[in-house]
Amino acid sequence: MRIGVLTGGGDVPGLNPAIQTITRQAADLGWEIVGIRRGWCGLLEFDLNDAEASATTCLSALTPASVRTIDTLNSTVLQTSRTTLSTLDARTAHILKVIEHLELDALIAIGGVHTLAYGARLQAEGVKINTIPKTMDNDVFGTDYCIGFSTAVSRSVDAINALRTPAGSHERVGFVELFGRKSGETALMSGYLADARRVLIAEVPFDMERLADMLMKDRADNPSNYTMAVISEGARIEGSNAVEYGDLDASGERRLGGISDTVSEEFKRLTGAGTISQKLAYLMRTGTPDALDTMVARSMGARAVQHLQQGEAGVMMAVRNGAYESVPVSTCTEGQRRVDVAAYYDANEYRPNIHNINEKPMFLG
Amino acid sequence: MNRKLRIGILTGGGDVPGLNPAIQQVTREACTRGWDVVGIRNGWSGLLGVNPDDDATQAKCLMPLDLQTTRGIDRFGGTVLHTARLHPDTVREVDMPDFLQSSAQYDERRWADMTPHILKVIEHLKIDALVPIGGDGTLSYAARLGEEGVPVLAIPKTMDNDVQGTDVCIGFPTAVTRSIQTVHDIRSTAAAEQSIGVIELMGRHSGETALMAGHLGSADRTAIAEVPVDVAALGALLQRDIADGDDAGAVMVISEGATLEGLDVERTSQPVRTDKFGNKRLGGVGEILARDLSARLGVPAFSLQLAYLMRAGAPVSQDSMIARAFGTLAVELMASGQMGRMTGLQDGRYTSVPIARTGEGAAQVDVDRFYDTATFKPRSTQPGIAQSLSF
Repeated sequence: MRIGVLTGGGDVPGLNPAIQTITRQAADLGWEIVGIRRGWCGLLEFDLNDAEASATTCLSALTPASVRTIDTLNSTVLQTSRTTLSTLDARTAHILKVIEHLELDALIAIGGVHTLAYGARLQAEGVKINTIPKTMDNDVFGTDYCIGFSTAVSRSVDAINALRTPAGSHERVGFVELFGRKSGETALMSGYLADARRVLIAEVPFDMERLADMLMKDRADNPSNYTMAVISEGARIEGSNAVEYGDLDASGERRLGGISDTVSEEFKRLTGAGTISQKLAYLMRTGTPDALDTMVARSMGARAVQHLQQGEAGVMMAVRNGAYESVPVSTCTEGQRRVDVAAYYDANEYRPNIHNINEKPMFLG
Repeated sequence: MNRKLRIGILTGGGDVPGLNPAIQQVTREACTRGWDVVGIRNGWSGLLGVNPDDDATQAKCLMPLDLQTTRGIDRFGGTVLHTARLHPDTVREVDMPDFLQSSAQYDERRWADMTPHILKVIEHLKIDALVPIGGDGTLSYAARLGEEGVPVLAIPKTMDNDVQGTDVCIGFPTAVTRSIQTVHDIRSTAAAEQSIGVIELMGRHSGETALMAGHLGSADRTAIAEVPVDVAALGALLQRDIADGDDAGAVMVISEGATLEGLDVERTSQPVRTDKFGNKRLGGVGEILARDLSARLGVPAFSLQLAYLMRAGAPVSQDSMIARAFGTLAVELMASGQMGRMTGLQDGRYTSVPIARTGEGAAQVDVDRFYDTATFKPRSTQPGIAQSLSF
């Protein structure tokens, strides 16, 4: 067997341990492993008329020796990219030819919603492919857990608690904006674990005046006279749209971001009280993975190879109900994963509501 | 059960990150239901030290817990209630409070079972139920109190992860996270010097911390407490790791409880250290192994005990989550009248099990399933692949 491995979408801690485990497991079986650089771009930009030069720019050999210590480095040694699905779809014939030219018997693609959706497309074209979900947003449909989520929450909790210092010293209200796109899960879990007073999630629009009243009361109730609120980048004030900026990105959407500044200004206008507004942004996904992300990365990597060994292609690695499972690769295109508001959120009080723990999965799912 | 309860919380054994979030969560869930919460300081010592005839003793042994006093405690490692390792069924004469010396009945070891006093104190304080948070020692005495008829709802914590009945204890995820980072950090030193780095991890007689850190941190070799270490065989493998290793040196992890077989060096040939009582202490197993490997292979070898740094500082997200979930679950179980249970995680999901005397058989690594004795490596191929997020 000769298999290709690639990582697409935003980078997260845990990608290198996944690549390392896949390489080792495949090498143990006597397989050859080809690293494809920059996600689907490595195949898209491979020039069949100049295969030799393309091999240098688009590929990277993976052997047990070459991956021996990559897990001590952050991010992904294969690099990553974002390409629109429509661009990829339009060049599918070329990509299939490249896969044939490289004599790849199977692919393992690690990525978020868009990367995995194109994996499903290739599977429909007859390519043997297994996929691994990674995204700190934890918004891939079909799995309760994606590589990067736990570290993003660990970092966010640390940051929220660190920001208590300036907020507390100046007796202000702190607004911390977290990545998560249209899913509020990073905000919900980070806010819950850092014990923030209010958590605004992408799924539930909020009333600005009610929120301002609550925060003023929270601040007054706190002997240190400050309070903290966490906001999903995708959250929005009732009657307004989500705050976006910039040009259309590779997925054909504008970037979310800036809601904490908007809320902070509006809060100051309504109450006259001081604020701090902080976007945690890329710091949520930098650095080394924590134990859970390392564990999931290695387990999913090992399972992806194991499936191929057993002749099973076309599956996405997943966690459901706390246990590892495998689902069809197309599952990720069948819906959107969002916070179960009725189960885990108090939409009146704008805060997590996490109860009835018995039999719930570890990270609630 | 709708009546208002008065519950006592205590933390026993070694401290781990996550205890304070658990205390905060139990307190909140109880206060929300209108219950009273009494914090008991220094584990079981706090109950031993209460003299029903002298209310002044309560100030030293107890601490009121409510929404205000637990505000912000989750942001710190350790435990606001402090902790101790005393077990009231085997109290040594030196640990006995003065007011109990005359009534204590010592056995031939000069130990006394003070359970009757503990029961009297629980009744005196009008505590309806106890929430002990601890490892197998603390929970073993909780089981004893359960047998005596005290309603108990236990929460397992220990970075060694050796409590039976749960796949994860509070403190384990943070301990493994720190250990992985140490394996990575030591890699740069080992690579720079083309040497062997030996990292010794706490874990008592369970090799689980070493196994997980070795697996997840990708150490070249891992030696666990459950399997005696053939030093000659291990040395040969490490020599090959250095030779084949693309200038990365070699890094290995060893459980503090591991035993070494076929040593060339004398176990006691290093300078002897003494503790404050004048007792001689041996160096850690990692240091002995490093000296042996260095002499045996002619390659520089060094050791590092991660020790208390594994359980210091703030918890990672998984520990915070488990701590809060266990806290909420404990109160939810008590509210529905289910006592005598321990919260747990099994197959990736929260559950509870009858609290048992765990002291006799601490959980150990399933060697056949998860460890390859010949290569000193965790088994990450089937059938060793993890089945759930419980580790």
